[in-house]
Amino acid sequence: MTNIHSKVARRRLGADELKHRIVWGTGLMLWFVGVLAGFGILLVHDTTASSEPSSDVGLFCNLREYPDSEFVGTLHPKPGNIEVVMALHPQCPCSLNSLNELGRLLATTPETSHCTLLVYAPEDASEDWFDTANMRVAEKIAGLQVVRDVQAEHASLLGLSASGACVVIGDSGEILFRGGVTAGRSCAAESPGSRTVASILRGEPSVFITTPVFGCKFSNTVPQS
Amino acid sequence: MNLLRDIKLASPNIQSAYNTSLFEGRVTADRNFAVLLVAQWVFGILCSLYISPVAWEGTRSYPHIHLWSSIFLGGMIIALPLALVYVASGKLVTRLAVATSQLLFSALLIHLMGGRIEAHFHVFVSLALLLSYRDSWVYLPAVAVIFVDHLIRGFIWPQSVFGELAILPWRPFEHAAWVVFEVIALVVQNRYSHLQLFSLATLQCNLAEQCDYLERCVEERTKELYEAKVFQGRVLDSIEAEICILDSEGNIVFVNEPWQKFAAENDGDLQRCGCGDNYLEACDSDDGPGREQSLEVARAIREIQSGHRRRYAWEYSCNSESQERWFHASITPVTLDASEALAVVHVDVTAVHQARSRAAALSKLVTDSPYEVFIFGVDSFRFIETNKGACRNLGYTREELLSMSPADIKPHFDELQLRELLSDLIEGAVDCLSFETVHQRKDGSTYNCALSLNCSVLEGTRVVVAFVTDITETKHLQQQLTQAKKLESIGQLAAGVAHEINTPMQCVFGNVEFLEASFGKLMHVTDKMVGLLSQSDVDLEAERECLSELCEQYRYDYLRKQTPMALQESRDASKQVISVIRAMKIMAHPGSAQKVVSDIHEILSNAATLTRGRWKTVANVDFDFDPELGSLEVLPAEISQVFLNMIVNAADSISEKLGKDPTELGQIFIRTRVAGDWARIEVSDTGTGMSQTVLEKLFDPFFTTKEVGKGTGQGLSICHNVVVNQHGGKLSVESKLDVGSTFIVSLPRFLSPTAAFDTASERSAALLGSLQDLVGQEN
Repeated sequence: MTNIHSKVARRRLGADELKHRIVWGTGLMLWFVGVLAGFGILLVHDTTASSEPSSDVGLFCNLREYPDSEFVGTLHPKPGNIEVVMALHPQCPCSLNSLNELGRLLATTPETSHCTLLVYAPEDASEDWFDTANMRVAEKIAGLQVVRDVQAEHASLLGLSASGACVVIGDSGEILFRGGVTAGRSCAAESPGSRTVASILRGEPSVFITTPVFGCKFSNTVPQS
Repeated sequence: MNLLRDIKLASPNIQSAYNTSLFEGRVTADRNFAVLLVAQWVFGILCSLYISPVAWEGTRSYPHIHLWSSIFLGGMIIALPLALVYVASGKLVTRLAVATSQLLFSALLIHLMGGRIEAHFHVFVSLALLLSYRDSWVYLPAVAVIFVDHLIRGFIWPQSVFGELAILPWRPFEHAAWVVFEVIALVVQNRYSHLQLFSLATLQCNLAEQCDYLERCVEERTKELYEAKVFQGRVLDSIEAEICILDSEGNIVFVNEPWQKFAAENDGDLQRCGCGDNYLEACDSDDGPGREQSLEVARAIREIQSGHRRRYAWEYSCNSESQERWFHASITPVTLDASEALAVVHVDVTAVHQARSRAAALSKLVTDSPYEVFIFGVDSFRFIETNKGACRNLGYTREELLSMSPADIKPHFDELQLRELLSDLIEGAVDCLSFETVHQRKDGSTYNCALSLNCSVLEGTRVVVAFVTDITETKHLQQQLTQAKKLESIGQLAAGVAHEINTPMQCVFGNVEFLEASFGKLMHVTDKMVGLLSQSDVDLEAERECLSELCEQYRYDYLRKQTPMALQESRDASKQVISVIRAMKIMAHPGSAQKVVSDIHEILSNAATLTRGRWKTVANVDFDFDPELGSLEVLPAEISQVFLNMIVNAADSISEKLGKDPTELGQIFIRTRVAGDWARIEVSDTGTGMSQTVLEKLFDPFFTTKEVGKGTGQGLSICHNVVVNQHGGKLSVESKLDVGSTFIVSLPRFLSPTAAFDTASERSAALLGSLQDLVGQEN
C-alpha cells in the first residue's frame, strides 16, 4: 500500500512539476517574444524618418528663383556668408537635440554664419504655445533669428516638413544642404548631418547633400510624399 | 585560497552559516533588484512623461512612443524577474532573470538616449550591482544580452547604440571587451567576496560559539545566583533565629520566617516590625515591658550607623507569660547591593542559658565531689581538668596536677604502658574501661582504687574521663569477708574434720595403750632375763625352762608380732591427721598477696580431704589428673577455697538429689587438663543441676539456692573474684537440670616473669584478664 501511495504521489508530483514547467516555459517564451518585439518596434520607429526632402524646393535650387517670396528674399546671405534655416516645432521633444546641435555648429563660425529659426505657429497660437523648453534653448543660441512661422508656410516653402529640419543656403542663394542634424530621435551626438553642416560652414565641400530628419511633423501643411 | 576546499574542510556549522549567509544575501539582492527594477521602470516612465510625453503633428498631439516603450516594454522587461523574485527568491533562475532584465534595461536606456555614451554607464553600474549576488553565473546572461544588443543594433542602426551613423565592424566587440574586462574584475572581486563571506561565517560561528558559551555561562551564573539567593533565603529561614535586615534609614527590607512567626505569636510592637516598617520608630515607640531593651537596641543601631560602634551584641531576658526566656541579640553591619545595611539577629538562647546554668551546677557537683575525677587529653596525655576530690586524695594542688600526666600517679607505669593499656578505649574498640589499680600520692604512699574510664570530647579535644574510687577500705573489707568466708567454711567443715582427726587419733590412742601394755610385759621379760643372766650358777636347762615360762606368761610371740603393726598403724593415723591439719592450716591461712608456685593436684586433693565429711556419705570422688599439668602460680589459700566451695556445692547438690536415705552414692569428678596456655580444672557432679534462671545469677553476690542459714550467697561470688580478678583466669559453669553441673576453672599456666615478685604487675595481669573478660562480654 505504501509503495502504491508513494508511486501515486510521485506521479502526481511529476504531473505538477510538468505543468509548472510548461507554465513557466510558456511565460518565458512570451516574455522573450514580447521584449524582442518591443525592442523591434522601438528600433523601427526610431529609424523611420519624419519626412523626406520637399520636391517643390528641391536640392540644388537657387532661392533667387523665388523673387516673389518676401521671406525668401530675406534669406540671401552676404557674400562669403552662409545662411542656416531650421524649422522647429516648439512642442517637439525630439528637437531639443537638434537645437543643441545647431547651437554647437553656429558657435564654430559666428562671423560667417547666420541662422533663422522658423518656429511653427498655428493660426490661433497663444504665447503659451511658445513657452517651451525648445524655445528657451533657442533663445540661448547667439545670433539666432527666430521667426514665427504661421502654419509653417515658410518652412514648407523651403521644403522643411518636420521639426529639426535644416536648410543651408550659400551666399549665391543656392541650397547646399537640407536634412536633419541628428542621427535619430534620441541621438544627441555628432551625426552625418551635423558634420555636413559643419563642413559647409568651414567652407569645405559638403559630405552629404541631405539626411533624414527625426522630429514632429508640422501637421498636414506639407503633404507627405 | 582554494575556497571550495576550505569550505569542504570547514565544520558543518561554518558551512551552514556560510550557505545561509550566501542564500540570505542572494534573497536580499533579489529583493533589492526587484525594488531597483520597479524604480527604474517608474523612473523611465517619469522621464518619458517629463521629456517626451507626447509627439506632435502640427497642433495635434499623441503619446510619444518613448512613453509607450517605457511603460510597456519596461514593464515587460521587469515582469519576469519580479515574478521569479516572488516565487523563487534566492534561486539561480531568478538571479539569471534579474541579470537579463537589468541589462535589457541598460539596452533600453541606451536606445532611448540615442546611444549616448553616458547611457552606457548604466551597463557598468548594473554589472557592478550584480556583484551583490556573489554569483559569477549572472554575468553570463548579462554579457550575452548587452553583447547581442550591441551587435544587432550596431549593424542594423549603429546610431542607436553608438551614436554614429556608421561604425567600424569591431565597435560592438570593443564595447563587449570593456564589459568582459569589468566582468573579469567583478568575478575576481566576487571570489574575494566569497572568501570574505566565508571568513565572516567562520567568525560568526566562532562568535556564536563564544556567544553560546557566554550565554551558558550567564545562564549558569544566573541560575547559580538564583539558587544561591533561594538557598540563602531558605538558610535564613531555616536558622532558628529571628533575622531582619535594615537599610541605612532603619527600614526593614527583609525578615526571615522565624521573625515573622515570632512577630505573629507575640502581640505588641512586634506587629509593626514587618517588611517596610521602620525598626527604629518601632523601638522608639515601644511602651511595653521591653521598652528599656528597645531603646537600647535603637541606641545601638544609631551608634553603628554613625560609625561610633562596629557591632553590638548582648543577652537579655524576655519572659513570656508561661516561661522564662533568654535571647541573644546582635546588630552587625552588612553590605547589601552595594549599600550599607544592618543585620539584626535575635536568637532564643533559653536552652543554652539553662544548659549553661545546669552545666555550672553539674561542674560544681563534680568539682566538689569527694571522688576523684580526672580528664586528660588523648594526644597530650596530660591532665586537662581534675576535681577537689582528686587533689585532696592525692595531696597535689590543682595546678600541680594540671602539669602532670596519668603516669605520674601510677607507680611502676610509664606513659607508653598506659597508652597500651588504654589502646582499646582510645581506638574506640570499647566504650568504657573499668579496672582496679594503685595510685601513688604526693607523699609516696599508695592506695587501691577502682577506675572507670570513657572517651569524650572537651572543647574540641578528645579526652579520657577517669572516675576514680578509693577502694582501700573496700579491699580491706573484702579481705575480711574472704577470711570470714574461709573461717565459715572451716566451721562448716569442723565436724567432718574433727571426725577425720578423731578416727585416726582413736587408732593411735588404742595402739599407744597396746604398746604401753606390751612395753610392760616386755620389760618384765627383759628384767627376768637380766636376773637370770646375772646368776652365774643357774642351770642352763633351768634357764631355758624359766624363759619358756616367761614367754608363755607374757605372750611374747604375740607381742613380737603385734607391736610393729601397732606402730605402723599409729604412724599411718598420725600421718592422716597431719595431712588434715596441714590442709586446715593452708585453708585457714589469711593468705598473702603474693602468688607462689603450687601443685594444683595437691591443692585439689587437700580440698577433697577437707570436705570428705561432706561427701563421703553421698558420693564418691574420682580424680582424673593430667600428669602434664605441673605446678601453677596461684594464691594457695584463695584457690583452695575455690575448689573447696565447688566440692561442697557438688556434695550438697548430690545430697539434695538423693534425699535423706540414699540407696546409692552419687559421683564427683575432679578432672585436670592442659589446654594450651591454660590449665583447665573441672569439678563435676551428678546432682540436681541448675536452671537457666539460676545460671544467670549464679555469680551474683548474696545469691543462693540453699535454705536460710545454710548458705550466704558469697561462695561463688568470691570464687569468681578469686579466679577472674586475682588470677586472671576464667570461671564458667555447664549445667543441666536433674543431670548435674560442671564448674570449669581456667587458670593461666604462664605468668609474666615478674608476676611472683611484683604486686603491681600482678594486679596488672589481673587487670588484663579482667579486660579480656570485658572484651569477651562486649563481643
